[in-house]
Amino acid sequence: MYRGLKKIELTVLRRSLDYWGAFELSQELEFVIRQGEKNDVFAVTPEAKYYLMGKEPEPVTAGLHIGEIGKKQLNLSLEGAYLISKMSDRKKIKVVGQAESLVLYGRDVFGTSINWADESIEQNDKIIIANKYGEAIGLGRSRFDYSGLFADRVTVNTEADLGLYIRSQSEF
Amino acid sequence: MASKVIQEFKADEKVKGLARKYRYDEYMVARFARFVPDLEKFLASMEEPPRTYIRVNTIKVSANALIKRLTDKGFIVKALDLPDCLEVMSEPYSIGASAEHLLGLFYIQDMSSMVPALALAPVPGDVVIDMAASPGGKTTHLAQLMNNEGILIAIEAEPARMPGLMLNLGRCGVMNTVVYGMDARELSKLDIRADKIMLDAPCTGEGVIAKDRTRKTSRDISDIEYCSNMQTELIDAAYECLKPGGVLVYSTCSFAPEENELIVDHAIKEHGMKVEPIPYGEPGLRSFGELKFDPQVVNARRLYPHIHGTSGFFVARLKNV
Repeated sequence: MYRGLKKIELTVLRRSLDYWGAFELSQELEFVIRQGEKNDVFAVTPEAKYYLMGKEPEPVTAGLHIGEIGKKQLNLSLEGAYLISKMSDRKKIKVVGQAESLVLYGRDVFGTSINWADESIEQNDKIIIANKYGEAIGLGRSRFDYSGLFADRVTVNTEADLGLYIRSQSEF
Repeated sequence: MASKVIQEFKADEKVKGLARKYRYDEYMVARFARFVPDLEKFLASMEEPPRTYIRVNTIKVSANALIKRLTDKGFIVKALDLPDCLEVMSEPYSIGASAEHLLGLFYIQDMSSMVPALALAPVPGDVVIDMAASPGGKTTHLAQLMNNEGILIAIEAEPARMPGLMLNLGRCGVMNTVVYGMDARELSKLDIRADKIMLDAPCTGEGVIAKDRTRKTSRDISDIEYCSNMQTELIDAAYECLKPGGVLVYSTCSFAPEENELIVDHAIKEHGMKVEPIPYGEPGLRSFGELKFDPQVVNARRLYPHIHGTSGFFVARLKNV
């Protein structure tokens, strides 16, 4: 069943978006939740939201999957990361062209491949890995704080990447 | 099931020779000989590797910005007359493996497959239905023409094709879709009336032989009849859900008139629909063997590989008057 967000879920969503520097998205977009074992959050148009509420038969999916919402945080999807990356640089690193391809094959990020990073990044932060245009190509976790991110070693673990699309194509 | 008259023709020596030369079943070449202009050139063109086209996803990027990014990476692309359509002239590596593709900045799609969404011409605020959505080429195209606004109901009957559809919708940043896994012939169960409907119907796929050579011999007359019957049921279901004044675009990637003109002829005669002109391709057929079609059917359009440089395609824009 698709439903709107409860007050507590809206708070969690806003807090998570704020972490990424994209609080405004919570005001600009409409969101629905598909209730199940995981509570998936989707960004939808107002018309789609109106249509979806309590609809039978239940649609398979709707709108753009932003992530899964838990009691404390929103686990961002890559689509959600892309949306955020277009409006904010918070908790983001940008990698050079060659590293872009490596990230898309799931490889971790070498510090020498990073040409820009947000100064607020701390050790073990969830971060957006972006290309030189600032577009999210992956999600990762920092091994060091900002000052250690540029060292000549792996400084960011890649946890999800857009290359999954190619790697999963044989399944379709 | 509606009863159909599938046309069969005796193969003469020329047809037999061409069927042998290009390794087709004779019945197919005998049928092509009745309506395809410049038959041997047509058959030869199907042996050529298909050209690569991409559609700029204007939800995420402008054509100029995409061209610059691809050019910087060594791709050579050429803008064509069709809106948002680029032809890939040269690629240093597969363009499908580029970050721009993974980011959803474009969709790899034959130029002919871009015509149906342009013919439907949805606008923000329309209620639109895509009756056979996967893998999502036309669905994402419709979404971008709608400026990612309003509501687009996407139907896919085959569960195995659903993950590909969902992945492409996500990749392209589409927010206005509601996706159903159901047989589109039961569309009326959704109790929705649409301003515009896209019916890119399942077909025998004669038009994509250049991409899949097995289709020269893997289909027979019974497959055309099966598809034709299903297409009739699908267009009937579409009509039931179309608002008065609404528009339906019917398309296939088949050359078979029983899957194309005959279905449009049915929509005219059974539902009083009007066929509106489309500014691409060759006119629809007036007749095929013993089948005579309503004069309006010529407003439908056919695309041929040897004339248009695309896969084979049929498209018709029908208005519910």
